[in-house]
Amino acid sequence: MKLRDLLNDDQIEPAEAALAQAHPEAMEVKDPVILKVLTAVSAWVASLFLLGFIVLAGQPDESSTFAIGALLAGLAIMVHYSQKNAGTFVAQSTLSCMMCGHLMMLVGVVLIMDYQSDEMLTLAITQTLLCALPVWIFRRAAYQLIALLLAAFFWTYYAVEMDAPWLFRLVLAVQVSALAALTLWRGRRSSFGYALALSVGATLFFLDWIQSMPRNARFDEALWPTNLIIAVFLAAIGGHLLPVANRWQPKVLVLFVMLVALAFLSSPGLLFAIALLTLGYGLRDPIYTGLGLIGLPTFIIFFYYSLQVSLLEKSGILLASGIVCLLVAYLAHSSLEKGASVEAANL
Amino acid sequence: MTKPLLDQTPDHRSLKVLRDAGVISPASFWAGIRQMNDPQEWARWAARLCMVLGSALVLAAVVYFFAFNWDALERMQKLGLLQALTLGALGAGQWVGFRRLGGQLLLMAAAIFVGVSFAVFGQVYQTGADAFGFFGIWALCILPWVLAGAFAPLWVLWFVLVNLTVWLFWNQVGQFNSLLHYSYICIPLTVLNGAGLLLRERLATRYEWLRGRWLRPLFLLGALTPLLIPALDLIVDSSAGGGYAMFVGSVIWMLCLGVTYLYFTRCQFDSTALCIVLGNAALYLITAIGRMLEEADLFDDGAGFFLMALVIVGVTALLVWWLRELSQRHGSTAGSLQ
Repeated sequence: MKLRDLLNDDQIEPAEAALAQAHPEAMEVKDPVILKVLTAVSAWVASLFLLGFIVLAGQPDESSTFAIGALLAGLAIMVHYSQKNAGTFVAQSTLSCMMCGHLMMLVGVVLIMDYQSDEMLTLAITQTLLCALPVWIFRRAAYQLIALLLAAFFWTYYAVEMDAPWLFRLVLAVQVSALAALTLWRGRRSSFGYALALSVGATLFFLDWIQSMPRNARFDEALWPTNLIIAVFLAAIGGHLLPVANRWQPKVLVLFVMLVALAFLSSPGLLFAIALLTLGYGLRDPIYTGLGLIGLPTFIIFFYYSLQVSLLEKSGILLASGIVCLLVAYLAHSSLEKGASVEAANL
Repeated sequence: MTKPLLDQTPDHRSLKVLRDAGVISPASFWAGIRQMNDPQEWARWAARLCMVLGSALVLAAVVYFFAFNWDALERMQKLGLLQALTLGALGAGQWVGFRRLGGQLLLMAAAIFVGVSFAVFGQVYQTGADAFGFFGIWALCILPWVLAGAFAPLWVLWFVLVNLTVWLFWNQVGQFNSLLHYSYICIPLTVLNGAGLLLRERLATRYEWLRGRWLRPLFLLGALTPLLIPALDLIVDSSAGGGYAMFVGSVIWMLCLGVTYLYFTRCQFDSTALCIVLGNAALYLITAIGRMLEEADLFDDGAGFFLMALVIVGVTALLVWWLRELSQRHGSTAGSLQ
C-alpha cells in the first residue's frame, strides 16, 4: 500500500504540497530553546508588571475587574489573530494577557455575586462557561490546559464538598469523551487533546489524593465506575490501533482483561497512564508517550505509598506485582524468540 | 532517483504531516496507522515496559523489606548490606562492560551507594561530623571512578558534590561567625565551575563522551550564576554591608561575561552559550533600571510598573536581535556540538 492509496483524487495535490513543506530540507532553522525560554519568561514578567500597573493605577471595583479582564482577553485574541506567525515574545505576551484577563473575569464574577450563593459552584459554572474561549477562540495549549484544569478542579472540589461521587465521574467522563472524540474519532493532533490528557491525569491524581485522606473515605467505595470509564477509553484505543482481524484474538483479549484487572486492583490513574502509553506508542506521539511515562511511575508510587498496610506487607505486594510483570515480560520475550526461530526455519 | 512523495509506503511521520494539514480523512489516517502496526513490535514494546516496571517493583520491594527490618538490623549488617550493594553494582557493571550505557549507569549507582554508606555510617555511629566533610569524603572516594568511568553524568555528579562541599564548608566553618560576606564564597564556586567548563572545552576534542550538548550550558550556568547574585545584590541593597565584597564579585562577574562572550563568538561559536551570557547581562540591566525607577518613587502610583513592562520588552527585543545578528554572521543558529 502506498500513501496515494489512502487519499482521494482531490486530496493528492494538497497532500504533495504538505509533504514537500514538511521535508527536513525545507524546514527553517530555529532559535535555541534557551532563548525561547528566556523570551517567554520576560513576556510573562512584563505582563505581570502591566497587570500591576492596571490594578494600582485604576484600582478597579467588582464590575470593572470583570470589564478590564474582558478587555485584556479581547486584546489578546485580537493580537493572536492578527499576528499568525508571531515570535515567542508576542505569542507569550498574548498568552499571559489572556490568562490575566481570564482570571480577572473569574474573580470579577465571584465579586459581583458577593459570595451570596455557593462560592465553589459559582466558580465552577463560570469557569466552565469561560472554557468556551480556549476551546473555540484562543487555541493555545498552555491556556487550554490551565482553563481545563481550573474547571476540573472546581467541579471535583465541589463534588467532594457535596459528597457527590457521581458528579466527579460525570466530569471525568466528559473529559475522557472529549479526549476520545479528538484523538480517535476526529484523528487530529491538537493542543487541546494534550491539555485534556493532562487534565484527566490531574483529576485522577486529585482523586487518589482525596482517597488517601481518611475523612473522605466515602469516595473509596465506588472506584469501579471510574475504572470502567478509563477501561472503555483503553478499549477504544485498542480498537483503533488493531486491525479488525486481530481485535478478537484470544491473546489480545487476555492482555486486555489482565490490564483492566491490574488497574481495578490498583488505581484508575494507572490504567489511564497505560492508555496514554498505548496511544503514544501507536501514533509515535512523543507527548502522549511522555505523559504516559510520567503518569505510570507517579500513580504506581502514589498507590503503594498510600496503601494502609505495614511495610512488610507492602514489600510482599510489590514483590508479587513485580514478579507478575517480569513473568509477562518473559512470556512475551520467549514468544518473540519462538516466532523468530520458526521464521528462520521456514527460510 | 528518489520516489515521488506519495508513492512511498506510509510511515508515521508522513501520515501525521497529512493529518495535521487536514488533507487526509480520519478513517484513512487510522487505516494507515493500522497497516503499519507490527504485532511483533508491539510485543517487544510491551515486554520492555513490563521488564522495566517489574524490575522497579522488585527493587522497591527489597527497599521496603529492609525499611521494615531496619531497626532490627545490627550495625555491621546495615553497613554490610550497603557495601554489598556497592560491590554488587560494580560487579554487575564490570560484567555488562563500563563502556556500555548499562555498565556506566551501574557505576553511577555504585557511586551513589558510597554516599548512602557514609550517611548510614554517620547515623549509626553518631560521628557528629559536619555535612561538608560527608560530601567532601564522598567526592574524594568516587574520584577514581569519575576519572576512569568516561561518563558525563558521573562527572556532573562529582562537580555537584564538590560545589556542595565548598558551599557547606563556607556555611559551617568558613564565614567565621558571619564576619565575612557571602560574596567571597561565590568566587571559588565560579572558579570551580569555570575550571569544569575549561576542562570540558579542552578535552571535548579528544574525548567523545564530553561532547554532549547539555554539558557546556550546565557548566557555564554554574560558573556565571554564583557571581550574578552579589552583582544583583549590589544594585538592590548596597547599604546592607559587604559592599566591597559585592563590588569585587561584580567586577569578576563582568570579566567572566566579557571573556565568555569573546570565546563563544570568536573561538567557538555557540548560540546557546551566548544566550546564557547575554541573558545574564540583560537581567543585570533590567534590575539596574528597576532600581533607578524605585529610587525615583515611581512604583507607588503604578507608573513604575508600566515603565518596567516597557523596559523588559525593550531589553528582551535587544537580546533577541543581538543573538540573531550574531547567528546570522556565523551562518548558523544551532548550538555547536564541540
